[in-house]
Amino acid sequence: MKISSAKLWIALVLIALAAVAPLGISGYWLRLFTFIFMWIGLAGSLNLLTGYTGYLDFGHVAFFGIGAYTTGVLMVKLGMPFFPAMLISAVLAGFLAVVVGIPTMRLRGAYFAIAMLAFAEAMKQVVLEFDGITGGGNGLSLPIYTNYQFFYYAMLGTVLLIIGTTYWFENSKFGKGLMAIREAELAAEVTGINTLYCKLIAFGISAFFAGIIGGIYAYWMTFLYPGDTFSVLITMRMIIMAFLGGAGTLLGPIIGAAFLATIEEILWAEFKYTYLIIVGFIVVFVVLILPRGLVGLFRQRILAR
Amino acid sequence: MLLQVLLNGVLIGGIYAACAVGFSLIFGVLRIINIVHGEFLMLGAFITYWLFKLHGIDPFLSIPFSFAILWILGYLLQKYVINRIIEAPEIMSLLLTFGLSLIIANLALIAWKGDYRLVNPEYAGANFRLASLTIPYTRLATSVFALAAMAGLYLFLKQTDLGRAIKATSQNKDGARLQGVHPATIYSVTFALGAAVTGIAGSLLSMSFSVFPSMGGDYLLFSFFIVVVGGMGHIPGALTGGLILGILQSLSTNFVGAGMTYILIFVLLYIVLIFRPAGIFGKGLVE
Amino acid sequence: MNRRKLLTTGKGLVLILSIFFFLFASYLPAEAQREKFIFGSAIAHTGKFAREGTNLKRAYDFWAGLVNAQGGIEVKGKKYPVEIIYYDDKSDPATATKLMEKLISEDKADLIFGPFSSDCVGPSSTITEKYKVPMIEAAGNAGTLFTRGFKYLFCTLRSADDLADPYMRLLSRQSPKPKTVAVIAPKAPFYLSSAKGFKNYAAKYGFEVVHDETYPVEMEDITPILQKVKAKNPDVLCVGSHTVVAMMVMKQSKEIDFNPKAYCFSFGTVTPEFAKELGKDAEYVLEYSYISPKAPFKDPLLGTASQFIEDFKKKYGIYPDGTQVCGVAGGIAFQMAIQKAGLTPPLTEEKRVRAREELSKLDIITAAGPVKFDSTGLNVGNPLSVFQIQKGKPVCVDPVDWVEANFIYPVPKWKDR
Repeated sequence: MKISSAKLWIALVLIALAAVAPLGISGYWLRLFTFIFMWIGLAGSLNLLTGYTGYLDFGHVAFFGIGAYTTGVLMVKLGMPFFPAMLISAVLAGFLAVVVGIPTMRLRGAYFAIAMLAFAEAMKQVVLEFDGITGGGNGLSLPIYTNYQFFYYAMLGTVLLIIGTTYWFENSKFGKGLMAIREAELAAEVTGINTLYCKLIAFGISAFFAGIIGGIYAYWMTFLYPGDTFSVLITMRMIIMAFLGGAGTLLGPIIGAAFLATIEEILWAEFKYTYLIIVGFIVVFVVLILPRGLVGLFRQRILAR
Repeated sequence: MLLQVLLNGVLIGGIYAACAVGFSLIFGVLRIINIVHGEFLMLGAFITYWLFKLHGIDPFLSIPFSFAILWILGYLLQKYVINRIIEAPEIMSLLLTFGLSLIIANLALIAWKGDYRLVNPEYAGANFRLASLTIPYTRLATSVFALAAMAGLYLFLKQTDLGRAIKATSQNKDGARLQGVHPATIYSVTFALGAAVTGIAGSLLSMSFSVFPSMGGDYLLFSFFIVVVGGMGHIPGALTGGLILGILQSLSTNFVGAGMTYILIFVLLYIVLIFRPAGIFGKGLVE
Repeated sequence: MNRRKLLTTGKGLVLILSIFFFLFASYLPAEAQREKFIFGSAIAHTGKFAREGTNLKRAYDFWAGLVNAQGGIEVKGKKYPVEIIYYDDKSDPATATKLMEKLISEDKADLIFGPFSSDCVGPSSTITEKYKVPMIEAAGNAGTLFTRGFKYLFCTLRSADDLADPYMRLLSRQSPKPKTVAVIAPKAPFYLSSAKGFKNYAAKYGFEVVHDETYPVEMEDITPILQKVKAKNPDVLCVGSHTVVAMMVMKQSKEIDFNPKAYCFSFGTVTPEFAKELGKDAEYVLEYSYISPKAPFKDPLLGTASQFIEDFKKKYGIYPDGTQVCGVAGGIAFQMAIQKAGLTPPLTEEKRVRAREELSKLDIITAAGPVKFDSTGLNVGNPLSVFQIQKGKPVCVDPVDWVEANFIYPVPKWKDR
C-alpha cells in the first residue's frame, strides 16, 4: 500500500494539528487525547504482531506492564531519570518477547494465545510476590511530574513511531514475509523464509513499543498497581481496537482505537453500566458482519463499485 | 496434616474438573475456544443463588434448573450466533465469544449489581471427623456430584447413539456426514451439552464460593489449565487435570505460599503447552 | 491519484474528526459568582467496591442533606447550599484519576470528596495535588498513601497502621489473656496496611504472632491458608479485610472447623450484607469504629453521637460503619474550614489554598468524632472503638466508657452455636 501525495498531505495536517493542540486545550482534553494516543499506540503495537503474522497474543499486556514496572523500579530504586529508564524497560520487554517467543511460537492459534495469557498472569504474580522491589500489593509510587503536555507529546511521538514502523511493515520485503506467514505459514517456510526469525523480530518490535507505552504510562499515572497494570482487560481492549479498525492494516488500529476510546468517553460518564455491553455488541457485530474491520468496510466499498 | 491437605486438594479438584469439562467438550467438537464458558459458570451459580434466596430451594435441588436453562441458552447461542463463524479462523471465534461474554457478564452486573453473594443453607459448613481429618459435608457432596456429572457425560458420549455421533463429528466431520449425521445439529447439541454441564458446575461452585457477575474470568483461567494438562477434548483428561490442579494448589499453598502457587500454576501451564501440548495423556487435540 | 481512494480516505478522516469534534459540547463560561458550593466525587457505584462505595456516598449525602436543610453553609452571613457531583469510577484507579481531572477542570468542583479504597485514592490524589484542590476522603488510609508528602490530601480515618490498637487493647484485658495471634490478608494496600498494624500492635501488647501470610486477591478458596493457620492453633485470628474477604473467612473457617477464640476483621462486617448473607455464622466478629452511641461527642449539625447514629439508621436503615462515620466527619471538616476562612464560592486557587491551610490547622469535635489532621493529612484526633456482632447487630464493646454490651470471649465454637 503506497501512500499517495494527497493522503500524505492530510496526514501531515493532522499531525501538525495534533502538535499544536496542547497550547489551546484544557487539562481534561489534554488528558483525553493523551489517553487516545496511548490506546492507538497499544492497539498499533499489538497489530504489528497479530495483524501481520496472525499470531494472537492474549498476554500482550505483560509487555506493557513490564515496561511500566521496570521504569518505575529503575526510577524509584536507582534514581534513574525517566528517558534511560523507559528505554531500558522497552528493550527489556522486547528482549523478553524474543526469549518467550522462541519456545512459544511453535504453538499455533489458540494455544499460542493461551500460553501468552499464562505468561502475562505469571508476570502479574511475580510482581506481586517480589514486593520488596516492586511494592507488590501496595503499589508503586513514582516521582511526581505534572507537565502533562510532556506526556501528550511522548504518547504522540510513540504513536508516530509505531505508525512509521507499520508503514514499513506494509511496504518492505520483511513485512511481506510476515504476511506470507499469516496467510500460510507452512508454504512460507517452503519458499525459504526463515519464519521463526521473522516472527521473533515482529514479536520483539511489538513488545518493545508496548514497553515504551508502559513506561510513559507509569510516569504519567505516578502510581502502579499490579492488578490494573497487568490486567487482561487491557489486552482485550487492544485486541478489540485492532480488529474493530481492521487488523493488518495501517489505519486499522488508529481508527479502531480512536473510535472505541471516543465511544467510551461519551458513554461511560452517562451510561455507566451499559457501555461495556455496547462494546460487547460492537465486537459481535464486527466479527459477524465486518470481519475486516472498519477499514475493510471502506475497502469493500471501493471494490464493489 | 499432609493427608488433610491432599484430601482438600482432591475435593476441590473434582469441582474444578467439572468446571472445565464442558469447555473441553466444546473445543473437542467445535474447535472453538469458548470464552463465554466463564459466564456459563456464573449463570449456573446465580440460578442456584436466586432459587435459594427467593424460593428457599435447596442448592442441590436447583441443579436440574441450571442444567435446563443453560442447555437452552447454549443451544440458542450456538445455533443463531456462533454457528455463523464455525468455519472461520480461530481468532474470530475467540473474539465473538469474548464479545458475548462481555454482554452477558455486564447484563448480569446491571441486573444483580456487583455484590458478592453467598449460598448459605443451614447445613453449610457442617463437617465430620474421620480419624484426624475434618471433612466438610458440602465439599464432599459437591465433589461427588461433580464426579457423577462427569461420569454421566462420559457414558453419554460413549454409549448413546447421539453421543457417538458427536464423537464421530469431532474426529471426522465429513466422514460423519456421510454416515447421515448432520453436523450443524451436532454442533448445537454439543454446545448446549457443554453449557449445561458447565451450568451444573456453576451451581456446585456457588455452594462453596462467592457468587458475583464477574466471577467467570478467574475460573476460565483454571479451565485453560485443566484442559491443556488433561488434553483438549479429552473428557477423562479433564478429571485428571482438575485433580492435578486441586492437589497442586492445596499442596503448594500449604508448603510454599499462596502467591507462588499462582505463579507455579501458570508456569506449569506454560511448560505443558510447550513440551506436551497434547496433555499428559497425549490424547489432546493439537492443531 | 485514484479519485475514489481519495474520497474514501477523506470520508474516513472526516468521520474520525467529526467524532472528535462532536465532543466539543457546550463550553461553560467561568462563573464570577456562584450561589452554591460544588463538591466533586468519583466513587465506586460498580465493580468490586460497589457496596462500600455506595455506602460512602450515603455518608457524604447525609452531611449534605443536613447542611442543606439548614439552608447551606453559612459564610459571612449568607447561606450557600451544597451540591455534590458524583461519577462512577467502577472501582478502577485509572478511571478515578480521569474523573478527578474531569471534576476539577470541567465541572469546576470547589473541593473533592475522595473515592473508595486506597487503590483509588492513591493515583487520583495526584490530580488533586497538582491542581491544589483539597480532597477529604474517608476510605483510603493505607500508610503508604501518606508518606508521599502530599499537602492536599486529607483523611478523616486514622491510619490503617493504627487500626489494630483497640482490638489488642480489648483482648489484653481478657482473662485468661490470649497468647497467640495469626494474621492474614490479601495483597492490596488497605489489607496489607491493616495486617501490618495487627502485627505491630499484637507485639506491643505482648501477643506472639504465630502465623503471618498474605495471598493474591483473586484467591477465592482460602481453606489451604486457614488450614495452615488452624494447625498452629492461635487464640486470635486477624484479617485485613472488607466485606467479601470477611464473608469467605467465616464461611470457610466453619467448613474446616477452625475455632479461634476471637475474630478480628479490619473492615466489612458492619455492612448489612455480611450479617444478611451469613446469618448465624456472622456472630461474634470484631471490627473497629470511631464512635458508639455512648460516645460523648456532639456538634450543632449532627447532635449527639447517639442521635447521629439514630438519624443515620432511620434514613438508610443501616448502622454507620467506620468509613461512613468519617465520611460525615469529613463533610463537617470542610464546612468548618470554609466558615473559618470566610470563603465564598466559586473557589479560586487562592481560596483553595486558604481552605487547605484551615484544614491543616483544624481541631474540632463532631458527633462523628473529633477531627484533627497531622502534617501528613491523617486524622489523629478521633479515638478508636471496637464493635462486636451480637444477635446480628453491631454493639460497642470497647473502650470501657462507650460500652453497650459485654464482649463475648472466648467465642463459642462452631459446633456449639
